[in-house]
Amino acid sequence: MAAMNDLMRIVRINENIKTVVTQARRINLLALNAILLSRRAGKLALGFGVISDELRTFSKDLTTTMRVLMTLSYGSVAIVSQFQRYSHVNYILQTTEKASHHQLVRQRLAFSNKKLAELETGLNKVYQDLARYIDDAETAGRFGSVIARSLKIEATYGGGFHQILAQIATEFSYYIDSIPGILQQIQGYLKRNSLR
Amino acid sequence: MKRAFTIYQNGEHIWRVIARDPERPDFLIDTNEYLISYKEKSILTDPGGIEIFPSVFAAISAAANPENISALFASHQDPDIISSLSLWLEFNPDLPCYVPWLWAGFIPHFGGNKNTFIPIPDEGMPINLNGLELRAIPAHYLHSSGNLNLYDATAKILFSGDIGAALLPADDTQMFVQDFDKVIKHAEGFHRRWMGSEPAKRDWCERVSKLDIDMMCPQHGAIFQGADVQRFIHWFDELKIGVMKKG
Repeated sequence: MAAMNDLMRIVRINENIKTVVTQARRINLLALNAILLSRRAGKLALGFGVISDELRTFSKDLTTTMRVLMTLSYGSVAIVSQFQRYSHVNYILQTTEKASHHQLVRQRLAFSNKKLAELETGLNKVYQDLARYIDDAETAGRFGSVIARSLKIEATYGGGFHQILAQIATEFSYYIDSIPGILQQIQGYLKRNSLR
Repeated sequence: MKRAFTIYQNGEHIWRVIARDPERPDFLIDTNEYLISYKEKSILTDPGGIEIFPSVFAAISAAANPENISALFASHQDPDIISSLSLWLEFNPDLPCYVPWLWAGFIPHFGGNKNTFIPIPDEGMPINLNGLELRAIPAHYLHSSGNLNLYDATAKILFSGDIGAALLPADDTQMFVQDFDKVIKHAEGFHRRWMGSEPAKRDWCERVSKLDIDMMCPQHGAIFQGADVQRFIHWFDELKIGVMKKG
């Protein structure tokens, strides 16, 4: 992990975010189907329909959080690439300073160092924001897991439809339970060392 | 921010264009980057200048996994083509970069080491993208003296670099050429001044007119498709090039 550069880290974060968005889309579609099916099942599946609607809202909220995360991580690409550019400039200035001891070069080097420090602060801020949103998503994920479990219970009251409803509830759990692991992976990528 | 648009897809064979950056500063020329993907591996053509790297990288990340980029292709040596090389190599130090052999000693000034560059001979060569054969085809002196196009015979798409480039006004955001006559007006001055060799142009028109091409994708401006591809080749064939406007 320590050797991973920041661009690679951002790519891995983005890929994980995309996976969560895909799962959220699946949950949304499944919820739509579940709502339609519970209507067909009538009174016995009333609770199943209500909970499925909750899961639909959950998937929409999760997608919104993920979109914010994606925007933040794309923004960090600009900071990281600027940092890399200034690092190159710094290296060249350091080499020049050693060879010439020119005061102007020393001044530029000081400016470049200041710029690097600012960029590092900016990137740390982005990573902190990302971590905060991931925390929110993890909380939402736990809530989703609880609803999915309730759905399994509701499925047992589904009369003639209980088997298909139980199948849907299991599918919900499968998608929702995969999310915490992915979010933890993102948290892992966010635990970075200093840029320098 | 730039965005990636799919212009061709047949299963796992995809061409995407990274185009139009509304936030691009006026002093920078707008560029098109093309991401050609086949079975999860991709090649990125003319990755662009260092200033637009964040925008290109973010746009690619939204559509595909940049870790799957297995090579870069630089049609020639200009900074708007390949000055972002050092940043791409920061991301993946092992990324190879196909370059015209003529510039194999010049492009490293943008970054890379002796293992980075795969020089392409003057006559061009096939490039294997995870089992898909692409072909680097010569387009020397159009405009650079060492210049290559990239042809995908399966998709019938030609990446034509600066050939076909039109410097469209900022408010003209057409992805594909809608009105040939209108677009070509923005291409004419550039082609007259930048394309330096009449024999090279004739030779290119002769060779390319024989290729099966559905889309011709330049590095600047809109994409030519359908009948407009041959219209462009005829127009270019008849254009007097290597001339400066006087006065």
